[in-house]
Amino acid sequence: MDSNSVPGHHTPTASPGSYCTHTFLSIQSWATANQEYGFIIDGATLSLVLNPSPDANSSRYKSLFLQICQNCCAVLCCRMAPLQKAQIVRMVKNSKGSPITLSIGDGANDVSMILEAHVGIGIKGKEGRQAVRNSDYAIPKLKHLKKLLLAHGHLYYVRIAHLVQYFFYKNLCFILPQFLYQFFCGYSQQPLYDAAYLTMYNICFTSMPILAYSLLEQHICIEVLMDNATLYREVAKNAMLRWGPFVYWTILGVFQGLLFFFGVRYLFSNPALQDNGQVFGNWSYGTIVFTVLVFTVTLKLALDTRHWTWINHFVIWGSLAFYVFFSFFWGGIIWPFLRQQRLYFVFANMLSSVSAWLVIILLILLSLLPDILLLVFRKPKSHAQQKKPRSPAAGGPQSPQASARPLLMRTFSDESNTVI
Amino acid sequence: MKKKEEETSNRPDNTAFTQQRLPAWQPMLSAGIVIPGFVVIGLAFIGVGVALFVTSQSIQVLERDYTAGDESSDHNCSLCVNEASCLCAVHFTLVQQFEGPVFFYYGLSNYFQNHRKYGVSRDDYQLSGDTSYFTDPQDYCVPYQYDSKNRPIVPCGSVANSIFNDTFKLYQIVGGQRKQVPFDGKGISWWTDYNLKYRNPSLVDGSLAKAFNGTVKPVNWPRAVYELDTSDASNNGFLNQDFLVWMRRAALPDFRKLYRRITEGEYEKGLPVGNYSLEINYNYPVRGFGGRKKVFFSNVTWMGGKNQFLGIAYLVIGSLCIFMSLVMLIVYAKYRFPDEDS
Repeated sequence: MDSNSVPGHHTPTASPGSYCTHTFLSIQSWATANQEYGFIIDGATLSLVLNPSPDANSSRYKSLFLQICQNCCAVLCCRMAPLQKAQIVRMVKNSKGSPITLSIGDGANDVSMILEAHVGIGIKGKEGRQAVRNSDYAIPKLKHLKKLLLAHGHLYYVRIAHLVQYFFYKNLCFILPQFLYQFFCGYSQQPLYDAAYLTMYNICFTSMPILAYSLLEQHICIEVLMDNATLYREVAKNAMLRWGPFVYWTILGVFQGLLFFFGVRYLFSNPALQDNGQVFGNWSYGTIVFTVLVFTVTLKLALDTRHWTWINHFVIWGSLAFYVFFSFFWGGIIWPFLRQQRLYFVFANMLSSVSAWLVIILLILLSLLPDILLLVFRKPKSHAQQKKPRSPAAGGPQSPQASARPLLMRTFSDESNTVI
Repeated sequence: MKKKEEETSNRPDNTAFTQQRLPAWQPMLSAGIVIPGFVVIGLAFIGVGVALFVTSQSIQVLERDYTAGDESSDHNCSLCVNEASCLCAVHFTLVQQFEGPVFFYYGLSNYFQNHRKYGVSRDDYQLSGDTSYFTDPQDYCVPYQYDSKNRPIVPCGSVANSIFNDTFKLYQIVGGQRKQVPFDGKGISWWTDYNLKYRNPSLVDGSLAKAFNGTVKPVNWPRAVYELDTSDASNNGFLNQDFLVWMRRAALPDFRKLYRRITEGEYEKGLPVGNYSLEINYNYPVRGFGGRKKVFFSNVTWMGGKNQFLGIAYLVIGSLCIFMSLVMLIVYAKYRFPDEDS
């Protein structure tokens, strides 16, 4: 690395402002030469820059200083008072683009900095417990920062971003058929689904799988994340919650909701769906739509899950099994506390119709088709260096980018792929 | 010693779950799985689509709209413009044998049986035979809860009150003579509706009519519920098949409901070629809300009634899958061979 360091040591005669300007202009001219710079400044100088005398030029010092720092790849501030540490952090926080800041420290003088930053990490060390007590995360040694950031931080972000998007998505495809039904029932607020299904959808049928995902998912396994620090850039700037991914999830939810509703609508243009000529009613209609819905959103999550532990298997297949079991149970008994026995035998009757089975399978597959195609055709964003290649199978020598190959190019010896 | 204990006591749990070390399977899709998978699914869907389409095409359907007010050569139901107790007939000719067993449906359109207020206007406790609700029907049935003289209506509510009351008789014209085609009204409603969900009240002195003492029939009904079917004693009370079919609310405003089946006697194999006349007792008014009334004769197969949608949908999706697998194959071949050359 070719770097120059620019010292910011205070000399009694030069004024900080002119020195700042000179330095900044120099860096700007040098910056085009593709060189990397480091900046060293001590506390005394910093106090002149950040707390200037009431002077016409002095307000520029701070912004100049900030720009210098942003143009350097590393900035070293030494001999700083606790308050100055916090001031530096605040300055970066309020700079253009509002970056997310992280502070790490082990002593009592780091407390204000830890509190100021977005993420404060305290090291439990020789200098006492003050830093730890005021921090968001505490680690015993500085070296643990690497795993905390590159592995856990990355994974937590992916999990929670996916959780948020998934929740909006699954409710969108839940409510859209209900909304569309109003156009066919005289706008009378007739529920498409039975009340029991309405109540149990979000908590009982579709919450456990995403809970397991958000606790356990490793879209890239921890070893690979630790070895390839550049992977962390993939989630920079809130990448998974930007407009792009959000619009994708929304369009997917709308597409699936439309598909569920109109798929069954066209099936019901002749409601005699059983082989004994009998006719299905409105609760059968709603139950078919609901069955397709529950299976689709759960299988969508199964497609998104890249790290299948026994818990994931248990909650995903278990949720589906629970849905089926509950439907039989709820529709199999004439409940005395119900004013209307709407769903009595509806689910079992639906399953006795071949057409209903066929439309369920068709709609589930069609709804998941965009996701499957995306999985197949998507190019991974970055090239991951593989430090621990598995023993090559039939594919010949592994290139360093083997794990990042598009799906169609992969052989069986490749490692797992990244997700949105 | 003590310090070591202190240190270890502060350590977080070291289990596989908390340390994210649970053994896991990571799905590794590759071209070798996905392309054959798509081909298999595509072929299976096309197979099912063909079966569905062929079956649907083989189902025969005869549909006639007999709403009064339209002049038509098929029927003279424009006589019944007042829509009250009128007799009319629909004539049709079969040029091909209509394969049996033949199912006969009546259809209504622009009829919102799925309207919410309509649908909640019923009393399922009455319908399960609970006589305490005979004297005191539930409030949901308003305005069909009590009649003008404050007597309780059984069965109460709009759904029951609006029961379809056109009746049909089918005659085959053989040699100038009308020969009635027998209709079978058994088993047209769901088995669970007839046997489990709806129950008649217990007989009083061996009579069903007496069990309904103190109640009146719904406003628009011609006869009370215990004498809905004068020819068959077991088809009365709440267990009347037509009543049960009507109480199962239709999903869409354009619907059909099963009326009868033709399964008896010489018509077991189907309706032979010839002229037919369907005599209708036209009672049910639909013109006031722009509705229409229809009748359907139909066969039924393993997929139910005639519906082209499923067959076509399966064929389209199957073809799409095959197409996608071809695209994938091309992409795979195109990008793989340059790799191997270099």
